[in-house]
Amino acid sequence: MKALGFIGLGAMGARMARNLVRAGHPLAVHDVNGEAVARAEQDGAVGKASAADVARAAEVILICVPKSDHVEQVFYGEGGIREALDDGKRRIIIDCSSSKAATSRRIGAEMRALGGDFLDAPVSGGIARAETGELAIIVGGDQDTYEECRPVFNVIGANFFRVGELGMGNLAKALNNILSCGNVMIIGEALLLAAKSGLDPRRFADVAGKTLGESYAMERRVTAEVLSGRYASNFKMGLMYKDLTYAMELAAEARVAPLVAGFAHDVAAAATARYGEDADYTRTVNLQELWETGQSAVFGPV
Amino acid sequence: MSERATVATHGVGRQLGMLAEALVDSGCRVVEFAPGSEAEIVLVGAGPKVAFEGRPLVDLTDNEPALEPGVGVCDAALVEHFPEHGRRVLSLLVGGDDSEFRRVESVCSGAVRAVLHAGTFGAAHKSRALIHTMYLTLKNAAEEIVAVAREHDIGAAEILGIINKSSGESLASQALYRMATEPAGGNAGIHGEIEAAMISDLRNALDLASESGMSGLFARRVYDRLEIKGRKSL
Repeated sequence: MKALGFIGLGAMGARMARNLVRAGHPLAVHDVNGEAVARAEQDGAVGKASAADVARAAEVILICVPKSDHVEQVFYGEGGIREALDDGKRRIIIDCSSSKAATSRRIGAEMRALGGDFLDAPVSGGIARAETGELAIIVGGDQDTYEECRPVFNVIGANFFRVGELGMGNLAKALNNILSCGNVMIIGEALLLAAKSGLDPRRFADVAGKTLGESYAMERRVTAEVLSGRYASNFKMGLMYKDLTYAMELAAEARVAPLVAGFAHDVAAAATARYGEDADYTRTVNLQELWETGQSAVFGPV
Repeated sequence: MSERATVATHGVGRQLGMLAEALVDSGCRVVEFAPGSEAEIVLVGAGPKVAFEGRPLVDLTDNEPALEPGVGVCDAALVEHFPEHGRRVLSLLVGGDDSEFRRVESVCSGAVRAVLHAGTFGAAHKSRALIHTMYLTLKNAAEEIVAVAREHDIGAAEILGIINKSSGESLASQALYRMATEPAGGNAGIHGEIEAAMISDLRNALDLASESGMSGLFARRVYDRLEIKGRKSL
């Protein structure tokens, strides 16, 4: 088994790392949060003081951090992976963060110049599937490197898509995330219309969810999080806004004017400003209700 | 019960025709309403008003209910799923009290995928309009993503295959995937009909929104797009 490294032990990363240890991989880990490292050590990982130290101990290094800026920091920053790469050993980086294609291409080119390789491999499925090792993984990068890393992917995921060269995984993930977030808003609007038309929004959600409204957003987000009042999808508003902003950049590059996705981005911007980056992203429906009705009757107060 | 039930129809309409056909396929006897004839329920479409002799009535008009609410009266609306093997797949929404719902369910459950209780009289028509509006909006959002993906060299089937295994999944994205990967064959005509009915309902839903002081901001964008494409007159 290859010696692995893992950088970024947040809600998703900690669970993915735990599954790798349980599968028997030697695993070096690092996180800016010392408590997260300590928990990983209890699972059997070996804590390291820096990303560079993780890289020195590993043949394959997984990264799972919130944003592109963090990926760049993990690679280029002080104590970053780049500091450990001049020893001539071949290493592969698997970036499971949802970052930008340009970041993947830049770091990937540098890794290849050093004799290693890079795969952008953003994941989808949330904490539940990270816990069970059933994530969907969307991979961009070299086919042979992807095949070489399949034993690692098989531990953390259940559905795999290699979509093309470096950066394409992140690009495809960003496009999925537009729908992931936008669908919640679209269904939220339908529930508001239902309520204002005299229908019981919960009954409407049930009926719609058994017909053409059947979707991940209806079942796992609107019903499970919004209508239950939990608002605990564990996906933060700020990250959603980041993803939607990136997706709109991709649309602009493609010279496509997405009316629905564009409005979803506008809602996300306003909701992030109102509720803060740490609020659960499903709170966007609260803002939609305020905009549409001036009240907080259907989805409750924030 | 549906195998032996007799159902009467009165009037005309797309919804009425589809349910009558599904009832016949499921073994029901479907007859035109006539005074004195026996029938468990009467399906009412668009047409002249007649005396229904106190029979249980199911208002199946295509747009808004035509009957007045009352004892033994409910409204109903069909939702069409993605067709399978060239055949329509239907769910029936019912608006009425519990006993009216159970009566319709007992007659129609063998003819459709599901019979669902939408609420009181009128709820079936409203629910269908909003479900169709939601579906069209979800579908438009997915079509936008496919358009962006294509420009970045990711094909429709590829991006939709990913979405359908991920958190962006919906019946709309699944339908688009099937359209991208399977020859339309006998389903093409049904697709066109379904979309036309949905656009009509989108217009109804936006009317409902306006009446209640809402904008329906996502749905209105889809309507505007369809208007630009010249499709809303369908």
